[in-house]
Amino acid sequence: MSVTHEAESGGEERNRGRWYDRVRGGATTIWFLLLGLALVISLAWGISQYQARQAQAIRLEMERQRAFEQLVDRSEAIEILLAKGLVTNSGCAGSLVFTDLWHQGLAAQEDLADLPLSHVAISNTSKFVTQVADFAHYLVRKCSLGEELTDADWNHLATLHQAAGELSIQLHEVSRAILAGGFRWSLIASGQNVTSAQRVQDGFGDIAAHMQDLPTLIYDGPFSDHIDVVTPKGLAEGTVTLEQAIDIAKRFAPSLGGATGQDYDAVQVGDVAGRLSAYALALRPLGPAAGAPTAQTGQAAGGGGQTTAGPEIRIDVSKTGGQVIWFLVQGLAEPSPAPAGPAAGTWGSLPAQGEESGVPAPDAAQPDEELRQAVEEARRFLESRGLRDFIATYSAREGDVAVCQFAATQDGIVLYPDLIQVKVRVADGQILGYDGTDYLMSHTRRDLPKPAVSAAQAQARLNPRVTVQGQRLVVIPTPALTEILCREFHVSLNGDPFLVYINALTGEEEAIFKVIPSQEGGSLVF
Amino acid sequence: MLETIRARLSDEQRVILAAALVVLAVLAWYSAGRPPGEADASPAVRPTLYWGSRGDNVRLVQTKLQQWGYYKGRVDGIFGRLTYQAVRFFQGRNGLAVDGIVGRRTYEALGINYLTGAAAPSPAPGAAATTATRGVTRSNDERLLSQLIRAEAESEPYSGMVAVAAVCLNRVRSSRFPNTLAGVVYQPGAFESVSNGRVNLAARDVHVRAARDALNGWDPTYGSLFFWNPAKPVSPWIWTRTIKVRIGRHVFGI
Repeated sequence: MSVTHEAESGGEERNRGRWYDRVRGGATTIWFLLLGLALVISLAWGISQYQARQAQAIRLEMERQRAFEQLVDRSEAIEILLAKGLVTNSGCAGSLVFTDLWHQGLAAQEDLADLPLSHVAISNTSKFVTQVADFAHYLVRKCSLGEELTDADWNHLATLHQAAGELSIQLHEVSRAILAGGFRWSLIASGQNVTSAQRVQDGFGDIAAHMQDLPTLIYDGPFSDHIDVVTPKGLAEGTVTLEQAIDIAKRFAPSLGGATGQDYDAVQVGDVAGRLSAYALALRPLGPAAGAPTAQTGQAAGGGGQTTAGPEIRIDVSKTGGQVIWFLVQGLAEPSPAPAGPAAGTWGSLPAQGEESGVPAPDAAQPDEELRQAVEEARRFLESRGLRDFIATYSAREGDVAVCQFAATQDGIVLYPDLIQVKVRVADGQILGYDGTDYLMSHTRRDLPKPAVSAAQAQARLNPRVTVQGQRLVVIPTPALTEILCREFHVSLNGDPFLVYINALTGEEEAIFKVIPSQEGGSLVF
Repeated sequence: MLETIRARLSDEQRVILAAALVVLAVLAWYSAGRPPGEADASPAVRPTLYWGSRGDNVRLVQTKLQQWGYYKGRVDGIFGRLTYQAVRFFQGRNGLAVDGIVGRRTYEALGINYLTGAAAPSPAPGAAATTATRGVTRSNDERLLSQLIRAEAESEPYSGMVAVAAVCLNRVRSSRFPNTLAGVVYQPGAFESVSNGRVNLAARDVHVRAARDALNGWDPTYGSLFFWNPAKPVSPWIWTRTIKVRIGRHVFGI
């Protein structure tokens, strides 16, 4: 549509007329209107989208700011509580102080993790607050048992208090940098190098550097520094070469698809460094099982990546002692469909306790026959590989696979830290996996004390509302990797099963576990 | 009839009509976000109430509305005109759909428990009745881990998938990372597939199996806390980590 510019007054009349005519007449008007409408709708949509995005960005910004301000508050609270902890004389008040400290430490760690900072910036701080919380938890336990804080504990507290002060001061610095203006957490998240973002990041960098200088903290807790430096105890003497390791792996590996006397084609796929150094090997069976069709089990869907067709056993053999650490079978063909119908779980078989227990052994729960057979297969596999004197503890079935747990024994006492797991396919008893890492890390001949608390005495320490169904002597690991000799009681509260562990030397209740019978068979322990 | 309409309209008018219909359709679609009618009562929930309903539930609603000054009539358990108006007044004041019908949302806004809780009778005091622990399962962890495996290690060998899941679990146990699995997975900036949303894709069977193996303790990485693909650009800091083992395309380190 063109507008002609003709001379003013007289021509205007004519212009208006011409233009007006066009508007009334043409289909072009329609198009003009439609396009205009489309433009208006697009603009409206664009504006609403922009507003929605802005609202979301603001909300996210507020969330992050909340996390930061909580972090600052909590670091102050941690410093104060540590100071109180230095002054308290244990007992109940001390217990409350340390409980608060425990809670503040864990919450501070969560707030720290909410900030969009890199791992390098927060790793040391995260470790610090977690250790504060963990150490506080350990002190709560002490206070509740009426134990006094040792000098070592008090010195730890003093160190932590000093570090907490530093942390608090530095966080206030960062807070000032934020308030100086121009800062948004989204700048850090998107990695922009604006001055305000840079200042805040530097602030956190300073904190990380400070936290680095803390002495190692060793105490009885799962986050203590000594956990990082565990040396394996269960390895045999001597080192093995690659050829020897391959030989060991071939002899240990399970036969696939029922073939006996199988030979394998072995190749090294990697090298494991560290305290438990090992050869990472892959075995491919030669013979009838070779060329078995690639199935969905254990194979990347579509067969992408590094895998090749056919079954393969991925197996690690330790360099020291030449023992198999773990293996997993992948790419094995499915057998005929596993029969349906899971039943109730099983309670692991208990050794006869004789007159020692004073409590009758528990009845076998309604056996899930398939699961029981799977456990038998697993036990047979272990014995054929030279691992005898293990007792089956818990097994659970997930789909067509059963994971069976075995613990080593010493003089009839079950050693829970020395665990072996075997993965069995329920339908045909095919061994699909083995994990002996815990066993190799912890198994030694232990010097166990004689239990000072008899079974009857220990039972008297239980909650009177529960019904006892069985008892045995066991050694349990603690989160701090120490070990305790306990009496394990299988109890139930109105049919709800639990495991309660009573210290065999002091009679204290050391741990409680909830046994959850799995829908598919077996049970999980929490 | 359509034929006569079409015959009577000129070209432009037809286009205007079509455009108008399109705009109306768009507007109708946008405004159709209203909730559908409340579902009928199933045995364990309170019934929907409307003009003409009677019963104890009506009485309860009337009491509540009267307490708050919306209802000026008698509390007689009969849903009539006054009750209807009071319900509409209440709904308007509380941001609900103003339809005069008491459904789930209106019940909840009134503070009335929508579930009638006819399931289990509460145990008599002093009778040590407890229920079995029912709500615990490991499937949440399994699902989260398997989706992460799919997002991060889809084309890795099986042991590589188990390794990625094991790294997550090792992080949970480490003091340098969050102490929950969700905390570790959703930590800002920790996993690229979480930042770009890929972690929400459903996992396949093989990923679930790998997640289960990791949860059951298999750890091909021997305690590693980090993994990365050396062929891709990564921050130089990660190369300061002690490398434990290489599986597939990933390198694992502490």
